[in-house]
Amino acid sequence: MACVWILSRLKSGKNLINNMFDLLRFDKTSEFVVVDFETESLCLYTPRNLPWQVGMIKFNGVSNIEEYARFIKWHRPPNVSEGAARVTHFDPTNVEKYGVDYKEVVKTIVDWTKSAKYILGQNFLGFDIYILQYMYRMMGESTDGIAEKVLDTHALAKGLKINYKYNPETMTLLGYQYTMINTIVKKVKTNLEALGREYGIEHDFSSLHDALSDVSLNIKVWHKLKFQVDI
Amino acid sequence: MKILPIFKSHYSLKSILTLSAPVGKIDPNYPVSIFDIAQVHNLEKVVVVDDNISGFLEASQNAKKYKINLVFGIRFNCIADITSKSEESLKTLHKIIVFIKNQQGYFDLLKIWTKAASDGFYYKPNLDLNVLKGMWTNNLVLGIPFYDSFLFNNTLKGGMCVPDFGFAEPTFFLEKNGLPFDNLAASVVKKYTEANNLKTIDAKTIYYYKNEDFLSYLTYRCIQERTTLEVPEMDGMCMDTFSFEEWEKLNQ
Repeated sequence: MACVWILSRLKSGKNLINNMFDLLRFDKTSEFVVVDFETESLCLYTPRNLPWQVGMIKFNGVSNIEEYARFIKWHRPPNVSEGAARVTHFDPTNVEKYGVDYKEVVKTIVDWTKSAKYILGQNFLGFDIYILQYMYRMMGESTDGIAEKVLDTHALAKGLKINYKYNPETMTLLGYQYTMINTIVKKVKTNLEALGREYGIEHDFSSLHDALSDVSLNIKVWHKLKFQVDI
Repeated sequence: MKILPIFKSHYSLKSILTLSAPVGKIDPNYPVSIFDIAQVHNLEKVVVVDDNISGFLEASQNAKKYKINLVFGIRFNCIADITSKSEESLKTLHKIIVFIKNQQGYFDLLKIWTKAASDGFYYKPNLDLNVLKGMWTNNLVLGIPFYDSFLFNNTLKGGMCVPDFGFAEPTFFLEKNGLPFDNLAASVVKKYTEANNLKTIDAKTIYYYKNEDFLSYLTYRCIQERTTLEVPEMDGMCMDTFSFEEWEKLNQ
């Protein structure tokens, strides 16, 4: 009987160790891409709320691989709402002067996110994913499977703070993240700046809402967060 | 396979669906009658699911007059116990649809609606399954919408609802509108219906005629919710695919 017990413990121990090394915190090779869009407003219907700036960084568990930041020139001039302009420090001359044609930018965004194993973002499932899906459709690509690749730091941080753990036996990671996004909890701060300050991350917080600054901070937050959540 | 079009009527703004008598054409600058859509596009049957019963009379009169088969249902908010306004009870909130099967079904539905709008009223008419079970008849059919059903809410919104549908065999609707969570929600519905040996129907909820009408619909919703187009603060208001135009494309 003792033998059986020891064998079963060893077996379960082995599984535990295997499962432990499946965690994303130990993943050094998979390609992640972190994406952030600065947009005209908070409307989720992209044709009415086009992004005027994008920031992306390709990275893996070891280091950053490539950066991409562009102002985007669409078929119409940007129509940024007063509130969004104030928050994002929108300056129309930047788009006019440095803006790149949207077709070129959209192609790069779709290429990067398609080849990455994971798409990282802050409140990505609640907002940015609609823009990304719109871009996939523009390129004639299927949007199936995009959401399943997303790691949303806002959702994961909220789960951590309210102590609601992800259980792969009873839920999918996507369902878990949506549940967290849809869970309203007062006085729990999970915005990027709050998380950055809480983790004691060195960053120029005055430059936030510049897309590249946001994604850069988002990676730093992820590298802290991934050791606290079991995914 | 045919996808069932499920219309939702509204009374406002241009290009929103009404239950008015058909005028024989569809003018893009005016509200569109569901019966005009049926006539212009040769639909023998229209399925209308509304959030209240007030449009039924007009709908049934027009359907009869213009010889269109009408299937009418009401989408109810359902909670665990209509006598309890506790947070726990409200966490079980989900939607169900009660369809009328025959003429007597209208009177049966009317009783259920009255109960929901009086005893169950809490901001909106509410039902619970115990009440529904007590009032259920064979003249009604139970449908489970794709969005905001108990399965949808349990999977995506942290809902905690395990309903007992023992009194009626519900039919579950499956939709594909390009939302990022559609595949996940559909997989949960398929798993549940297979395990419980229940029927599913591929369907599409239609709120407006053409995709381009979405902005009118969004404006209408923003007015209702007292928000703005810049910050609508409404889940799911991201796709222009809840249209008759999109349904036609899918059925081609």
